[in-house]
Amino acid sequence: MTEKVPSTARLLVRNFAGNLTGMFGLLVIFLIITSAIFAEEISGYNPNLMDGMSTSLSPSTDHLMGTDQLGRDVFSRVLYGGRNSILIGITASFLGNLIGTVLGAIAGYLGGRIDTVLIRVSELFMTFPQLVLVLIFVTIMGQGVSNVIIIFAITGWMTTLRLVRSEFLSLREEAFVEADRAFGFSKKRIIFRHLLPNTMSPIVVAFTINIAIYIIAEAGLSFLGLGVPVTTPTWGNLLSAAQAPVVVEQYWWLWVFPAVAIIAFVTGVNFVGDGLRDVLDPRQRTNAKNKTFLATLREKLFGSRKQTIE
Amino acid sequence: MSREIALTEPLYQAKGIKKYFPVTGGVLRRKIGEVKALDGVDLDIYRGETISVIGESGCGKTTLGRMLAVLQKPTGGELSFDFGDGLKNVVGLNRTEELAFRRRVQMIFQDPYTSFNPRQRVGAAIDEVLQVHGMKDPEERFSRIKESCEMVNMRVEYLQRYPHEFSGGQRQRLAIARCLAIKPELIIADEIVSALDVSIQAQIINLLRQIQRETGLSFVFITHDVAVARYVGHRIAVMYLGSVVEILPAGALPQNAEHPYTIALLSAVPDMNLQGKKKEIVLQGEVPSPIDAPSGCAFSTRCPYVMDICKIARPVLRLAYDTDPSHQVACHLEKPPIGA
Amino acid sequence: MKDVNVSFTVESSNLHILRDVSLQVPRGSFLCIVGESGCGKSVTAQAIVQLLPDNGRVDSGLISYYESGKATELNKLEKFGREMRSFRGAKIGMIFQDTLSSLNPAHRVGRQVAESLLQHQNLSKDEAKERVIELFRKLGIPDPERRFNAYPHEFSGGMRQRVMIAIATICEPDLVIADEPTTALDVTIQAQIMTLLKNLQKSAQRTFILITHNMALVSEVADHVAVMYLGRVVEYGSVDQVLRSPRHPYTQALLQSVPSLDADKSVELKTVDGQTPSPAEVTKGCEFAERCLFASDTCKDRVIPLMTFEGNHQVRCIRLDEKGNLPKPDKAGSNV
Repeated sequence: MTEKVPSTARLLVRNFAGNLTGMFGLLVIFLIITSAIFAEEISGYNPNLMDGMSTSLSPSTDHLMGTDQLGRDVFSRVLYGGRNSILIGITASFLGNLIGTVLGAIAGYLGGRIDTVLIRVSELFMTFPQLVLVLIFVTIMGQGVSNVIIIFAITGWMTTLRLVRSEFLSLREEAFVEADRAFGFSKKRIIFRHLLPNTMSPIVVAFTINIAIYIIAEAGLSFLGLGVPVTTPTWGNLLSAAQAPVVVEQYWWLWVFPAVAIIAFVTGVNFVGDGLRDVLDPRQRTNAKNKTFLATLREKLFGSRKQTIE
Repeated sequence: MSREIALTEPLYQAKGIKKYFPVTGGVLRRKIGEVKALDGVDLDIYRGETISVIGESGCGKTTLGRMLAVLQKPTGGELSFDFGDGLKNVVGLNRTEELAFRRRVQMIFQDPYTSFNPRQRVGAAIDEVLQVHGMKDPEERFSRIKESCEMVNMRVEYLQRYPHEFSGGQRQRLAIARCLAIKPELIIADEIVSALDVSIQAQIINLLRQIQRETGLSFVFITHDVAVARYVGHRIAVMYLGSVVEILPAGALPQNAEHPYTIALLSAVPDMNLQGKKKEIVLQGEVPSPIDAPSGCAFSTRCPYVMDICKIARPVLRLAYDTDPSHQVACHLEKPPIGA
Repeated sequence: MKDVNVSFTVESSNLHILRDVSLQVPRGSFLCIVGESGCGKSVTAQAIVQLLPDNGRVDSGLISYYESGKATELNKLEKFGREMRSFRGAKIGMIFQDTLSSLNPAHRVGRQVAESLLQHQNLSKDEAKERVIELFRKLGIPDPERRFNAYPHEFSGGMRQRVMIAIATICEPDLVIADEPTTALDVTIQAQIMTLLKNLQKSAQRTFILITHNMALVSEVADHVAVMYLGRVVEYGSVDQVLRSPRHPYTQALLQSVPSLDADKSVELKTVDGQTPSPAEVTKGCEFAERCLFASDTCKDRVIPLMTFEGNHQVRCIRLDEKGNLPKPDKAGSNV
């Protein structure tokens, strides 16, 4: 037993590389995110530039996705819109997860009255239908990208809290936690350096799922005109163009492309989440001889060869 | 094993330890009863000795181990440890005092598979313990870790691995090394060999004896295996339903046991060599539940020698009939049952 | 069982779990199969009743069941076919270690026992219930009429094991296989159960196979002992032969690692270095050679034949001389 043991991180990466759904999802969102970041280079048009001469044109070589009623290039609006939607999705999910994790860790480990208080508060938030809560906050705080992010975070932290709290509740009884206490480790050390790393897997998976949820939520909100105002393009408010039946029928390029973008990105994120969930299963972690992506592909296409010993 | 045990001042003393767990029930979740896991336990542990604690499930030996390690507060009674000048209480200490106590009293758990953080390399785990106890110099920590590994026959290179890469026996050795690293004075071993194969168990037992020879540590060895308890310990404490019913020197087993439960326990132990020589006492019935412990002597419901007084008054530990000063029994019988 | 080989497929590689296992169990006798974890003793039991897990299979060999002059090759029968099923439960009873997971927690206990009876014999429900209650009484379950309707979790460990014994024996099987039935139980309860099992065997001249890792238990109940290591039977003989004059180095080591109640405390426990390897690591020669104090180079190369000594005491070791004694150890004995 003299081989160097790869670290957990390296094992995870290797295992994930062998997971077909995960890799596919990763590819998709990588493409979309890159195009969103390099929107200027790719599109060549200013998304807010209104060209009165080129209104409502269907897709062509000049305008890959056509133009809208105000002459704005749809392709660049989708790209820039992607930037904002993805930003909202990732940041809101991250923030919400952060709040939920910290509160969940405290509630789960300390228990007692703090736990009861936190649980009651989270239940209070959860009794309101999320849409209603969001609408209330939007009315109070106003619209805009950063506001939407904040609102999503403060209406969505509860699920992460429950997740982390239940993980902590069960981990708390584990023997190694007892051992830590027997060695005199402080509560802070136990929570942050021992318990939290062991709960990372469900947190990470929840993070990816929430990204998808928030993108769709933003889309729905902006579609209704309640999320981000139309001046800042997002996939959602691009879709809002489809409110008018005439658009749906005659100017399909105005809503189909944003819809496809949303579907592609959300599906990609879900695939990554699935892949992560498979890979982060503790049983897989011990498997050092995991296959590479190419090997998995080969096996799926050509069938595997059974190895026998002796 | 060192036979020089100072039978003067104990290193660690438990007096009248009670541990009750409330039982809640009903819609309003009120307390409807108590599980008396420990109901008045007295135990003195001396320097350099191994005291084995035996008993069957529900007797409270694991709870006793946890009380001694102060992982939870006892419901009643006193725990006192000798830090150097006399016994001092160790319950409800502040952070500095607690750390000083934990440096001296360590615990090894039963399940080797879960007592290490699965995401932490074992070397880092031991290193962390040293850091928490104030060793700031990494060089010093490393040499201490090396020393502990050598004591348990573990190669230092293996320390960069994760717990799941070791077998159960190796993990227990690592757990021992982790305790030894901070040079404790007392180690509480809670069923540490029960989950291991017999040959590995023998390795660990030999290791413990060797460590005791070399360092003069005290051990509290909790087990359900009577033969192992006798082999490992200098003295043996027998527990039944939350109290200690007999404390006797290991050599007094099996012939000079006096408590009826101990005698019955011994007769139930399958043994190759004592074939046909022992009288088999098959106990009737089962251990009563700790929620409704019988009044008087806990063993009165199953004792073949039960008398009226046994059902009313709880017997206390007193010197045994065989006049050995280190042998105590808690029984109303004046003389041990004949033919034992 | 003759030359039975079983392998498991784990993560697309084959692990050779049972290696040329041959056992003959005379009718009415009590055999104990002993070994540590990973030796294949449980797999042997599973192979007999064809209850190997999905990724396991019998690669070769014969498992034969003899009754009234007729031999049935059990491993050739279809796993869930009528004939095999008629063996399981009716002719071969099985007792498992973990009673909590072997009993259905959602069904009353009486029904689970009666189920076995109704499955294999033509009785009415009432007749079956009568028989179950009678058996409960015989097995020492107090208040049997009421306990018939209880659920598994309402019983203590020892009582649950009696229920399992009831299920295993209600159809009066000729062969009972018990896989570590008392490992999870307290010593005093273990004594009760073992007495019960021994009585069951003697009273009906049943054939018993007990699987355990506890040598001392073996000494109390067995007629014959088979010691297994890494899928191979390394020693076989009567209880006296194996326990009092063990010949195989592994058997000797096993016996020496367990302190007895009157062990000399000043003597170190003699133990074996290292731990049991995985089946994948050993493919040639004697499985125990790596850790054996008496091993020579040939031990690791050859297939080790079974040597028979007087009184049908079989040992699989080439280092024994004609009288069955081992040479002086080559490596220094170590204890840690």
